[in-house]
Amino acid sequence: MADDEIFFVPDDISFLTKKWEGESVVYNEASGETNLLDERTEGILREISSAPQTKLQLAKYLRDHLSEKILKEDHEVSREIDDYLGLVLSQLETLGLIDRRRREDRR
Amino acid sequence: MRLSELDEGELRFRLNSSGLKFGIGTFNVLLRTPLPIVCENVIKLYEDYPLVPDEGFIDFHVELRSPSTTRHYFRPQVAFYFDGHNPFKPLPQDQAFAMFEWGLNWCIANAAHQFLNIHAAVVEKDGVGLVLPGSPGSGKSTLCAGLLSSGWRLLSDEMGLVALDGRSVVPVPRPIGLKNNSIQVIKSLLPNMPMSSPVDDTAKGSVAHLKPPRESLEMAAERADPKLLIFPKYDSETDTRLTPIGKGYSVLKIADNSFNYNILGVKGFRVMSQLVDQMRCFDLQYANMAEAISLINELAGSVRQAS
Repeated sequence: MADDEIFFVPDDISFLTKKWEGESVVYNEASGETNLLDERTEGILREISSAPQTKLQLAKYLRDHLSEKILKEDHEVSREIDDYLGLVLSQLETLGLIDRRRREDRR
Repeated sequence: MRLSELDEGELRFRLNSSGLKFGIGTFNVLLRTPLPIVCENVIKLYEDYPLVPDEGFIDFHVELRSPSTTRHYFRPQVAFYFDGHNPFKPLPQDQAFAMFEWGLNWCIANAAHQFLNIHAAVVEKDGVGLVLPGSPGSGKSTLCAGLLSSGWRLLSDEMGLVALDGRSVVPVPRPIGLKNNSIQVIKSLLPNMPMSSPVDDTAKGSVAHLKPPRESLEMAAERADPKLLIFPKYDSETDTRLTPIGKGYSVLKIADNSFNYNILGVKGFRVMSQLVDQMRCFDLQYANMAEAISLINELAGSVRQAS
């Protein structure tokens, strides 16, 4: 899994979240848009919001929060987590909630 | 004092001169018009509404009259004026009363940002407030009128006004707009409730307005606790059924049906979240009015028992 990028919430972005069982809504104060996120995606956004994260860190977070049943097929899961994270991070970027930078760009 | 306590001559005189001032829930309206079709329907459908005293504050100054063109000599038209401005194109004069109702909707939607305003019917029965958001054609108003026959009181047919703490809905009970086949359906269900004469060939098809029950107007100062959210969808080909839906999804659906969610910004999100938090949320598909009312009554009973 590539780990040369850091995902973060830009300084000019703030959002409000309301959680219910299984889903959340996130209100982006900058755009005025409201988005529906599933529980796992909201968790990833919360992790990134608490501190900038690499994809490896987010994969660890996901593993810690996945059920044991899924973890049994370890190799398969690694690939799926990578694909899944790629998709989720791309969606969160499209929604304007997060951004990414290369590690060497860290200021 | 109610409109019905003035004789018809006095009502017509006020409408045709300085204006008739009356209260609609939380709003006061001043209406001026020389048009007989508007006078007749106001007298018929608004007779139970309270008069506003001379010194009372008026939220909306509305006038309906022929536009100042020569066209009205060969094809009579009506224009809607709000605070002296004319925001709409004229309509054929037989649509004048409907234009009053539509125009007043526009006034409230554009001015009443002290509430979260959602495109929804709202009714209440024994402490259970039911919010029925819906786009045109969803069967929202028909279902709302049907529920009145089952003991629900009307808070709103078109606009659900949610207080900014998100915990209550403010009544603004007005005549219920019915279209096409639903006019006959509701006439059969509520044969004793006065209705305006149907007007054909409007942009919405045939339209008529149903007078709200007097009991609903007498309770127009009492807010309702929203406990049920149902998105109705009339479909003549379907079975009637209620399907639970997620609260997050419900927020998005209400936002799509809101007049001012975006205008309220963060406040709108907070109100919406609080509102949905306290409601059980469902989609309703219905083809049969009696079955839909029965399902809703059953559901409201279980909500009542649980609270």
